[in-house]
Amino acid sequence: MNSCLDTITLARYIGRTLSDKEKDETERHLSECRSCREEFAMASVLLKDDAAEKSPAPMEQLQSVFQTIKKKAAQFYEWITVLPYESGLQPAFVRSGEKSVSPQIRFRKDVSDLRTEFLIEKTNERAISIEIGIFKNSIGAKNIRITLLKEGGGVVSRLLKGDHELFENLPFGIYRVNLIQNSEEKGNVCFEIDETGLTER
Amino acid sequence: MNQEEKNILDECIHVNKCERLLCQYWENVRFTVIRAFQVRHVHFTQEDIEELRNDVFVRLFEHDRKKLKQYDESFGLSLTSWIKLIANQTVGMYLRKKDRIGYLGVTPLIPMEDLDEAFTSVDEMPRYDARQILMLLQEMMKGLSHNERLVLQLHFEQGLSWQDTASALNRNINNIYQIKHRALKILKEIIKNL
Repeated sequence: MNSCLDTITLARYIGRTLSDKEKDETERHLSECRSCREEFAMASVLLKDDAAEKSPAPMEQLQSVFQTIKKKAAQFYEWITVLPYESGLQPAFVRSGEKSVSPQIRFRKDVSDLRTEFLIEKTNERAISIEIGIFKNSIGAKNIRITLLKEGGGVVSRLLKGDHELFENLPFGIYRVNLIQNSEEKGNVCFEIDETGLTER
Repeated sequence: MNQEEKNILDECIHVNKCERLLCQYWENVRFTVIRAFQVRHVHFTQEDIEELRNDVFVRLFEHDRKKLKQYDESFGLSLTSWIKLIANQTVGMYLRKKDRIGYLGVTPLIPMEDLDEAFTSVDEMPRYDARQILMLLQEMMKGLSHNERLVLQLHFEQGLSWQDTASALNRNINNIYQIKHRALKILKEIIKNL
């Protein structure tokens, strides 16, 4: 087991429904991975809590927070490990010929009359790459300047060559992608990336 | 899962009406978030709790209720326990992101190779020595089997009692004591041979 425990495996381990082999692999991983171990240790204490079940809350009190939660839920992307694909933006590992699969996030956003496509790859525990494709009417947009600004410092600005641009070895954080075409500002895409995923801002 | 819980879950994941699920688990999630801070011995504010409670439900509902759809009774856990797992995970991720000083003590604030320059005062020397010992211990732990390592880690690193360690690993307490004695014997042997 090379990657961290997913929630289902953790649940099945705690629920005692893993096979002996799976159980052994899980325990081996727990002995090697501090963050999974911590999560497991805390979970085993919390799930043992025999405090009485709490009563349901009345919906009248929760209407507005429910709407806020629903809105936020639609704008969050979790890291997903996927197999390589043929068309469109290709993950760095495909271009480099490496065989490992990194967690990725893909999403699209319309900025003025441009369609932007983002492929964000977690290249190691705390670094990412961001590949941005810009299209107009389904073909690569021309004369685009992409500026990537990181909150707290760090600016990279490039002219788009082809239909996508790759920014590598970036830390987690809050980013703003500014697009200018033919000296005309088109707009921004803002997001925060961390170990859990991407949240649009 | 009783029939009422099943109906509430089905209504959310199949009909996309999640109000009743929110109401049903609203206080449970709040309680779990508070406990998740307490078991980690981390100070929290009311704002932390409210923010994290919302975050837990965001994680349950996002990506088309993916985390709720993943739940299956065959895991051996109730739906409440599944939601508690997600809540605990959410708090853990939040605290790692906030990098609460002294919370994890995982990543040194100063790289080891810079310590000699950084810690020049006498007061800092014990901390430097303790960290060197910790790194040595971590190396020695590699001489143990993964079960032996895990038992010691859950007790000494994560702070679980020996009984809680036994419960967590679904082992008899006597078995845990046997593993503990065996592991400590091996570590003593390693230290003797250094």
